[in-house]
Amino acid sequence: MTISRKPSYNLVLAALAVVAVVPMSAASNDPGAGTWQMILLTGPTQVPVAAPAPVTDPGYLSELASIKTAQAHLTSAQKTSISNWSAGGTVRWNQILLELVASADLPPEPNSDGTYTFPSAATPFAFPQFPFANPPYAARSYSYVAVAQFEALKAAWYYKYQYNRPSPSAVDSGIQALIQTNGLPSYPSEDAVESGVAVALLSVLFPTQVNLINATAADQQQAALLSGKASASDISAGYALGQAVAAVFVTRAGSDGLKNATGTAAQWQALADAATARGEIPWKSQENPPRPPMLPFFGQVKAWMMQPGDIVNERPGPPPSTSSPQMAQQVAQVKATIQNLTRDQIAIATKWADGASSPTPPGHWNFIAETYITNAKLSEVRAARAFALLDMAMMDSAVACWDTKYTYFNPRPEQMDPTIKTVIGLPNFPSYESGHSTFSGAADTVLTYLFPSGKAYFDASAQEAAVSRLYGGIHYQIDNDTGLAHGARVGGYTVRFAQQDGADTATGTSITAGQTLDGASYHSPVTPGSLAAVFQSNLATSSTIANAIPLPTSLNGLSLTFNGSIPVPLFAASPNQANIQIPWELQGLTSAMLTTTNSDGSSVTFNVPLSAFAPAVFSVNQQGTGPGLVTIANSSTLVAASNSIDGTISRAASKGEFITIYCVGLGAVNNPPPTGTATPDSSSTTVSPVSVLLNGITVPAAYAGLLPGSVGTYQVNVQIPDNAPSGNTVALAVSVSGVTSNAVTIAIQ
Amino acid sequence: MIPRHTLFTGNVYSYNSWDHYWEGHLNRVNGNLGTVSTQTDTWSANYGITNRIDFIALIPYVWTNASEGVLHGMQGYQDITLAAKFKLLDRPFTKYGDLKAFAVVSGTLPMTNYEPAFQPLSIGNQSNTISSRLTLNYQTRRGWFGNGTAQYTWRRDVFIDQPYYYTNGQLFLTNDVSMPEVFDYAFSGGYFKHGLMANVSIEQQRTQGGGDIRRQDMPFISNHINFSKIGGLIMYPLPIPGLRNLAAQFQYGYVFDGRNVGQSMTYTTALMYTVRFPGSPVR
Repeated sequence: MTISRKPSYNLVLAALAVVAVVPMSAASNDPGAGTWQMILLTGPTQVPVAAPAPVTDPGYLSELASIKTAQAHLTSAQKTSISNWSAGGTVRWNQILLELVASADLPPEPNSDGTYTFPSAATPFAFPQFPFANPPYAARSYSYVAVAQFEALKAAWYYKYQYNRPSPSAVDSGIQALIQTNGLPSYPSEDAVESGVAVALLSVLFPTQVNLINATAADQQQAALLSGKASASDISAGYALGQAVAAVFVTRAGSDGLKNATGTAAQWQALADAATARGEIPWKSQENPPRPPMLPFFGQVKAWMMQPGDIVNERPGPPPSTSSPQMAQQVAQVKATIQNLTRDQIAIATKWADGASSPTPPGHWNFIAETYITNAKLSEVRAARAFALLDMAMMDSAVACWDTKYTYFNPRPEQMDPTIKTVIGLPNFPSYESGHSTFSGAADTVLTYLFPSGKAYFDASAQEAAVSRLYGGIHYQIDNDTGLAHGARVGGYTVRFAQQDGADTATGTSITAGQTLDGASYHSPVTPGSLAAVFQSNLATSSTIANAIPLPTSLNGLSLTFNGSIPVPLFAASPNQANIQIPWELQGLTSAMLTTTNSDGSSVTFNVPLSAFAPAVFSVNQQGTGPGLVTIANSSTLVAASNSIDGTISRAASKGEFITIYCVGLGAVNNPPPTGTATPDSSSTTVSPVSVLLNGITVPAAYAGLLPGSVGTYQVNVQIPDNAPSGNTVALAVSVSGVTSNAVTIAIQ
Repeated sequence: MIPRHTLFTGNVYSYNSWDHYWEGHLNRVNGNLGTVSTQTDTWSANYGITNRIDFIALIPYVWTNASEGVLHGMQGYQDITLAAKFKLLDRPFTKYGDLKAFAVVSGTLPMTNYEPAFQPLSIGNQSNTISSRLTLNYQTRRGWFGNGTAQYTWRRDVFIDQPYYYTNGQLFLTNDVSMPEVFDYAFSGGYFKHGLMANVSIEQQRTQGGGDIRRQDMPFISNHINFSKIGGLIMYPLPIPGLRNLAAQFQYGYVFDGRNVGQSMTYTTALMYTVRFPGSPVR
């Protein structure tokens, strides 16, 4: 077990010192989206898209001519249509989806004999119309459309940048760009991709609404054409791609378990009998006539980011027994709340009621997200990602929450005390835990990850949504508290996916002011003790690098503090970026407020998500991709193909050789040095074991700990195993406590 | 009209209930509501400023209740009505009696911030309204009379607590609800002499727009509400010695046809007192 010493430090510091100031453009086309990790598709080329005809092709030229003619005769309806779609297609489809759900969100009326008929997908127009878009059905619908559009757009982006066909307005100056494309290649058309997905999926999910769906799709494609964004061949290729991707999702939907989610009368009776056998009062419908429980087996529908085992593991423990004094206290609290309701509390209950004829709780959060997505001016594929992440987390919440509700079959306050009355509708399913709270906990987690500047609003909204159920008189406080926490755990699965799907890296594509990212691969969150990069405008007037350790807490007039009082060591300060060490003092927190104060006294404060573990490997290109900052142990020779990197000696490592990987984010260490100082020796080893993944082979690290003589950087030594693959671009990642870093490459011979 | 410098004031109590209602055009009952009852207690004042101009104020307090289900009844001060009534015409017409025409301009204003969108149990719909009404009245000397009235009401937008709402086939992504205008007309006929009144009436309301209640949905404040109502009223001076100028009223109304409204019966009783101020011609 050999451990490197000082030479490596100089190399790392040299690399850090010339960290390029990443340009901070809020809008970018995300050219790399075709490489982002897929969720359901096997890869961006699962659906083939043939190369387009060249721009000199006579067929294409006549497509352009007809756009010119149409642009010369635009009607006011067409201009309105172009304006409606200019904010982005995924936002508009989200609004359509909110309306489809609201229009279908009605429980069937009882028959005259007191029974209820269930909507049937086979005869959707027959009374009662299919579907009944209740919260789980709605969550599932939102997620299928959002994820399918996202996956289809990633594939579209792959082909866009492979074929690089410019938009009609870019090819022919006689065609006006009525919607700006910022140079995004136009084949296949992203608008047509979205339309193709929407028509294919929504016709299955909301079969009685095909007219609205088809009209919206036609409108979107027409707007793309008339605005100069896409030609007819761009559009037909995009539509076909969208339809083909949607078919993969339709197949999944056909067997994801929804068909069995209603169950039979015998199964419903079994749920009640099981509760009675546990000594509990079983839930009973409070409707008149009593209505069968709503989707009791939705907890077994396929989630996106969670496996069935995860659903079971994350399930909260049981509520208080219906015969316990704690339950009596919970009931009494609901009663007292209703008896003393203020007008403000009624307003909160009504605001979040999201009952019949509404977009349902997941729709409410999609409605909230729209503003943030629109204002962030994301590329279409990144906007689709935001909806997909949010809606996957809420679908998983629906599964997790319904699993909980029907495991415990807990009665509502009105059943325990019939004198309790409600100021909103009472949903026809068990009480513990609150669906609204679970959806909100997950949505809060995902939206805070995507839009850190909105954290205070998302947190407050989630809290308000949860307490609104107590004010409405339909939930116990424990239902709401448990749901919020459960939802946050569920949301974490989606966030962990998002952290490593490749979308949140530097190169100016996704950095917005107010972000703090790890200093190796520019991901969020960051970990205490590690090097990080802060992006914010107007930090300093020029670029300065610290020249001594312990690191200063003020550099070139710039100083930073966490949570108002914890000073932050600085490596470097430049106008739009600062390299810092996240203080060890923040260990254990999930977020902290960072205040930057520059030389003219102005300050900005923003939220920084934290994690105990967020491994990230340094790379030669300083973007977290490509050849890694990995050396042959005890040397400064990079582990890459010989002569492949300017200015540095490199060679492939041999099997059996030790290599040293430079990274951040490995978490707590033994004998941590004070914040801002370096460890003098190799005793600051990581508390959690670290392993190295080489093209999927896991190798335990021989040594993992702070890099002696440096601040905020870790060193991992590992021996190349005999069964390691050979090649010049073997993927390498570091993993600690179940979290895996970005992947860089090394060369092995 | 109330004679000048005279105040006709008192308390009106009404009890309205229905178990059948029209969900759009579909007449049905709802086991989660049972019988919905609304009680209203109104202080009413009608003051003759001159012999041709009256000023009217009404202050109602409303209680609602559903006999079945889990929904909470509501109560509170509802909307104040302020009106000015003008006698436009008062002339003999044929040898039997007089023809009168009246115009009323009135407005209503919610007096408290009650929750409007918890229909059918909300005590009102929180809209500010302005109405204009025209009445033609033919009163014979023997006491028989006939009346025709038409009224048009404009209603201001209501801002609800929900951030969006679905009605009339569309999801509106706003909390601003536009309220359709309302047209009412009524005919009544009966006997009115020496303070004794007995009449029968028929009234129709036609809302000028709005959505229908969908199947198993709850009503909404901007629904397309129509109704046809028949009724009868008796008013007579109370023969209480030493207490002149006190009158009692009894009224019954029944909605026999409608759209997005309860098939309701209403019983109203009122106790009204005439106060004479200096200059009042009333003995």
